[in-house]
Amino acid sequence: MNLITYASSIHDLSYIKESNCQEVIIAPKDLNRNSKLNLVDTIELLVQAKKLDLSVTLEWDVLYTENQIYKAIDLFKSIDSSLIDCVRVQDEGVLEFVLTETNYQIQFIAETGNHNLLGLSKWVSYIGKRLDRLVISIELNKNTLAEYINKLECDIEYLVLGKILLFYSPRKLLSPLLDGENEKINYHADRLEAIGESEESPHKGFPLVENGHGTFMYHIKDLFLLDKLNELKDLSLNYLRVDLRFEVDLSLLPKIAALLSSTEVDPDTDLIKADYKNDLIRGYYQINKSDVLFKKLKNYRIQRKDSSYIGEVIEILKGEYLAINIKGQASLLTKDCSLKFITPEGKELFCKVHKLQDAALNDSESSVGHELMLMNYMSGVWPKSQVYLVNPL
Amino acid sequence: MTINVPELLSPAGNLDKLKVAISYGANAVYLGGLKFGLRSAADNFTDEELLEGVTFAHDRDAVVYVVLNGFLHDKDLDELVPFIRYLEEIAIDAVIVSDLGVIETIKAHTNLEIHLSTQASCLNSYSAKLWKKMGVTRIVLGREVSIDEAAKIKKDADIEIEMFVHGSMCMAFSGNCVISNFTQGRDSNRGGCAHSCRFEYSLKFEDMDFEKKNHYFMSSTDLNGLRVLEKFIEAGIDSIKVEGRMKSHLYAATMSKVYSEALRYYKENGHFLSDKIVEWESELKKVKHRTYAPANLVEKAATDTIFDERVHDKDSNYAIVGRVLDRANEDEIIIEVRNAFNIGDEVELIPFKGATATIKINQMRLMNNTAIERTNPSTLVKIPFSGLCEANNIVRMQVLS
Repeated sequence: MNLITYASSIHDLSYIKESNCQEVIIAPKDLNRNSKLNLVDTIELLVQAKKLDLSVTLEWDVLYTENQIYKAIDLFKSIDSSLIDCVRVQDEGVLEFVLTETNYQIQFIAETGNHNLLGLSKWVSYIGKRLDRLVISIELNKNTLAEYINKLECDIEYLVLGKILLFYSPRKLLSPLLDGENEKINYHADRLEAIGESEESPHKGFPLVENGHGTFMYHIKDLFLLDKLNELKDLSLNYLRVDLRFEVDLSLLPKIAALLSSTEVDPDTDLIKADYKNDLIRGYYQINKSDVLFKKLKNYRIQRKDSSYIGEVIEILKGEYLAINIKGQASLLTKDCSLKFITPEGKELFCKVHKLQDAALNDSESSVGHELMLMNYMSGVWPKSQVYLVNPL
Repeated sequence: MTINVPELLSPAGNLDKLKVAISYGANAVYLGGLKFGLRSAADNFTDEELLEGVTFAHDRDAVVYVVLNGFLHDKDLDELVPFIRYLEEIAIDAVIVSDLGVIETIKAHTNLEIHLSTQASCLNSYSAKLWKKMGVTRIVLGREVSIDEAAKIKKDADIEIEMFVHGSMCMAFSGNCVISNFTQGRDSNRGGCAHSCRFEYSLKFEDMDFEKKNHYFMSSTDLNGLRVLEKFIEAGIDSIKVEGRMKSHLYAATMSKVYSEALRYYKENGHFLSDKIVEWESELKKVKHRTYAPANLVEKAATDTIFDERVHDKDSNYAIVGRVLDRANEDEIIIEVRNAFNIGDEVELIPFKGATATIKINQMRLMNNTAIERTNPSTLVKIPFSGLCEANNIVRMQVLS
């Protein structure tokens, strides 16, 4: 299991070497969501990383519209290809460019929305031999991770420590809040950081960053799975990533590397937690139940179910009539038929039709050709109750 | 010379809204089944409703696209197969998909036409070429793309292009927001979006020792592309889409009527040099909306596209009164009441085509002919009207703003 992280300075590289990492991720800010490195400093860092015999991955993870992507490609092409071993991408357009117009090995960031084996397998086959690894989503729990490591024919990388990105907008959302405030404050236009909270959210203290690529919002707690290292080793995970770009430096990295090489059954992570300033969570690592609340979002009782469906009660005049909006096409409402009503509360009521009228209050034998029918009143039935024929032919 | 105009694709949150949208002029609708889409809280369509909706649409030369645009997990894919087979059996016209696993499943089990959802955030021609190789025949571009960029993508990738022309906007790149997943335990990319971007936030800029309280800093204004409709046409965009499966019957009717009339006008006249555009614009303002803006259609959305307010109906002073259900007789119509109105009020009946009819309410009766002075929501009322009127016509009323 290999440890991988980002370098933002020469100093970071020394921590990376000290930690016996074989690879480093470097990114210029023009191509990367989070980097603060200008192109000159990026190239200098790439050179130094190569001198240290590190495998260098250039992370190019910005999403681009049509006009923007060509500018980014020009910038990318200006970087000496001998300084880069691999390119890490998320935008499918950038992937297509790197795949069809360069010879780089590719690390594909499949962290957003790629939550099934079939889709991931297709990415693997599409990128083919040029695929160095898939960076997969932290929304996949450990059992799914185990299955994918076993079944996907490529190396897999998974984040084990770092910020959880919640929101990526191309629009600048923080700087407008400072408009007209110049007399009170002095800010750098190219990067703003803030902490957000809302009384409408149960969580407080969302880190926010605005830079040249837009605005990014992060979870109030950082992902921490270092206490699961032995479990991840057992799963044969190829790469685990730690993202310390929001920390002062990479001084924590050697301690994490030591933890990784520890042979203890239950290595102590308390020291690392103590040195890490942010609150921590395990996210969806144990289990992902992010779809279980869906059934509470609407009333399934008032959904139309089968071919015995007649329609919906749309008005009730107590003691006088039920008005039914005829919706079903397969079954007919007829005089003397038996009906089942399912109320919005789920109660089932039965009754026989002994009086049936059309909208003009003419007595009628059936609902053929009508949108609206009135029938005899039935206690306990409410508007939005669904009407079904009992024992349809 | 025949002028080609884009398809008008309207939202159909349920079967009634499908009928409303098509009756008011949409030549395509998109809708969701009970699963696999991004609107778990919407009514959506049961299998029986889907069949009826497809029949209704096809009988009127309209097409039906079914959204399967959630980012699905493995267990969801297992359940997907019977559903897509059913969709093929009832002859829907295409599915709208964002997930490569879903695309692979559809290709393996059906011959359904596949459109790439905006949720996949396809933003450039390289990306469009990739998705075309994956088997999609149309791309619903991300809402960050301008019309000029879309024209270039269409030309370079040689693929059908669909763009949003109207409605609410995600502030994030679509598919790249998981706030609900991690704060509410609801997967926003499988239909559980809690709309956290519409919340009011306070922001602390700690570096500057500065705080800004109570702002809707992540909320976007609404898209309105009416004024740039000609650009869509000139760019050869294949389909223009209205957002809003969760929105009202009045919304479905107004959007479908205004944009279909505008497209028809252009097809007949080859220009929009008409007072009509002011009239259409006025109609669009009569539905509940946030401040309108063209977002990224012409140039990149600027700071004025942040909607720093909670209330979003303050300049729309119309409300739906109800839907025409049937005629009671030649001189009387039956309205399913959604919002109460009184004797003496003036309501407006919106026909499927042509000018709105104003009706002064002088008399109202319940279905049993009892005269009433005031209606209640969820009731039926008969009002005198002998003009042109059909089932599913929408009735609205001006209200105090």
